[in-house]
Amino acid sequence: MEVLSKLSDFLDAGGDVLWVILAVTIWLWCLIVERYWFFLRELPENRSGQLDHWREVHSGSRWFNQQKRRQLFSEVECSMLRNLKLITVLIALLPMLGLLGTVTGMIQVFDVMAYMGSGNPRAMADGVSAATIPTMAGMVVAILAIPFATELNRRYQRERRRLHTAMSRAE
Amino acid sequence: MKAMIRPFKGWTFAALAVVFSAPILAQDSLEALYQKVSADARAEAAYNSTREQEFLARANEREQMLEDVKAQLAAEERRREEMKIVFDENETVLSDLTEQLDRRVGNLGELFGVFRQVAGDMQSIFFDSIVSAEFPDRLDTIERLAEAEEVPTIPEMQELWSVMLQEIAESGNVSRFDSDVIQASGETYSAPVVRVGTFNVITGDTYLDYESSTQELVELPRQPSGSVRSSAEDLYSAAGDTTVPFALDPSRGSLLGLLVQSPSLGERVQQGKEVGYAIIVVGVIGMLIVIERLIKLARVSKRMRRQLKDMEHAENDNPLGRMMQAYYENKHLNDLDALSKKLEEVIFKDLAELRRGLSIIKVLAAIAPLMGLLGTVTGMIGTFQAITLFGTGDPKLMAGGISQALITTVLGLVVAIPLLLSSSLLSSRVQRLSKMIGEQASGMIADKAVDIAKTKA
Repeated sequence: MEVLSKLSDFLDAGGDVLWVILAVTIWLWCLIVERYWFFLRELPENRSGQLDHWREVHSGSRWFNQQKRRQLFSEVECSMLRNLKLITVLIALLPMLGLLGTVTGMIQVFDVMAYMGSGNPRAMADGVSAATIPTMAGMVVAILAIPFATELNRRYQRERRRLHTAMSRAE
Repeated sequence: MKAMIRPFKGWTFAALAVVFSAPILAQDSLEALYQKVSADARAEAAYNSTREQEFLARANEREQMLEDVKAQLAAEERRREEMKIVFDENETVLSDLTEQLDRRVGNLGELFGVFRQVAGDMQSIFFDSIVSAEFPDRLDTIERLAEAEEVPTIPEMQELWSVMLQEIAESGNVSRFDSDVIQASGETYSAPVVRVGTFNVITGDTYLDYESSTQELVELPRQPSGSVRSSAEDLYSAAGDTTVPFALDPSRGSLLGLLVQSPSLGERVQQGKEVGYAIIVVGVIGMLIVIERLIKLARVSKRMRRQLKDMEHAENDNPLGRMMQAYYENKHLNDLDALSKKLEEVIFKDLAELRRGLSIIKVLAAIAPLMGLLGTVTGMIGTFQAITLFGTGDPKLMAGGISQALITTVLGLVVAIPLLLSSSLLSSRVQRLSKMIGEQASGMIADKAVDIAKTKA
């Protein structure tokens, strides 16, 4: 309960943009978890299924084999590639959202200055925290997600190579 | 002779007669003239003696009068002496009595001072309090009490604390009463209003401001956000003893007053000036292209799915169908290379159609933050020009440039973020579709190859 109230305090201090950042963060981590689930659980079955299929259909004609392999290969590749690009885009978006929060927070600060003058730093503190927290949050989430995103990309390349060799060997 | 006769008017006439008649009487003897003059002189002497008699008589009379008045003056002076003695006696009596009064009033004097001071304080509080909108009569009461010159009576004192108690009690009450409300346009209408303590007055979902100088309820020209207004609506329509959440202004209206000053979304956008509008135009164009692409891709993928279910009949309205048609038309060729080239031609055309607009969206998404930066820089230039001209003394002169700088940055980001997201969404969708077409093409050519192999065998 205390954690929840602390979290809501933190979100309130960061302003509206922080909620958007939270939503994007949740989306991003759902996608990353989904990808890991896919690579660790679904892909092996998928791959063995495709390889079995490949062994069934491949015949003597070299050209036919090439075309059929291309078809099967691209099916797996398509499922591997799904959401990978979106993860990268979301990681690029997070610092942008942080910047957006900074600027809206600055506007808040200047609004307060217009009402109360610059003599009251306490009144401006709200806007300043709304300016800094989203930037920090966006950065932190992006930096935390970047290793996973690159790892997923590497995994994709590796699986792709592995499938390629597996199919060549089965031929 | 002239100097002598001047005081006597009658004589003047006589002399004139003498002068004017002289030539006429020239023939008469000087004797006659002498007779006349001496007669006149006698008459005059007689007249003067009577006048002298009169004067003497009147002088006696006046002397008598003077005597009388002197006697009267002496009498009055005597009276004055007597009165002064009485006055002095009264004065001492009065000072005795005043002293007695002061002694008897004692602490009560202090009490009356406090009473007056409290009444004055309460008057200014009541004047600003929205409770006065419900009970306008009490303003007259408190004014009478605060401005009373005389010593207040016990009923008046009781009146003061009863109105104070009323204010305290009403500050914890939610009450409903009818009142005239002035709209922002100036029209007046009568409506039931709900007063929440001394904090807010609402009617329906509208927050009202209490104009203390005219003692009127005025609709705020700019209302707070929707959720706050719906909480007001809930309170307004709530019946009896139910508990409803309500957003109130603990500063008794001054926060709501600031709300009127704070710029709305539209005014904020206006602060972005030309650059801001240009960014919005870029964003609108970008979103239109995105929507067009989304509809187009959805339609194409739906048709392709339909085509996949029904591989027997090639439709002309989707890339897959077109590819199949090209395949069936060139089936007779029996040359796999030529066939695959034909199919690739059709595929390329369709892929170009699918990819159309994607690069524009990407470019717009990249341009929008740059335009925001441009606005920032132009805004800062404006600010520095203002500083050059007026110095840094007045922040309000710099505010225009600063708000332009900030707003354009916000606009640039707000436009870029959805464009970037939808660009990625669209390109992954296009990738999926193109892979689908490519896979099907490969499969189809392979099947064809099997057919050819069979016919050769």
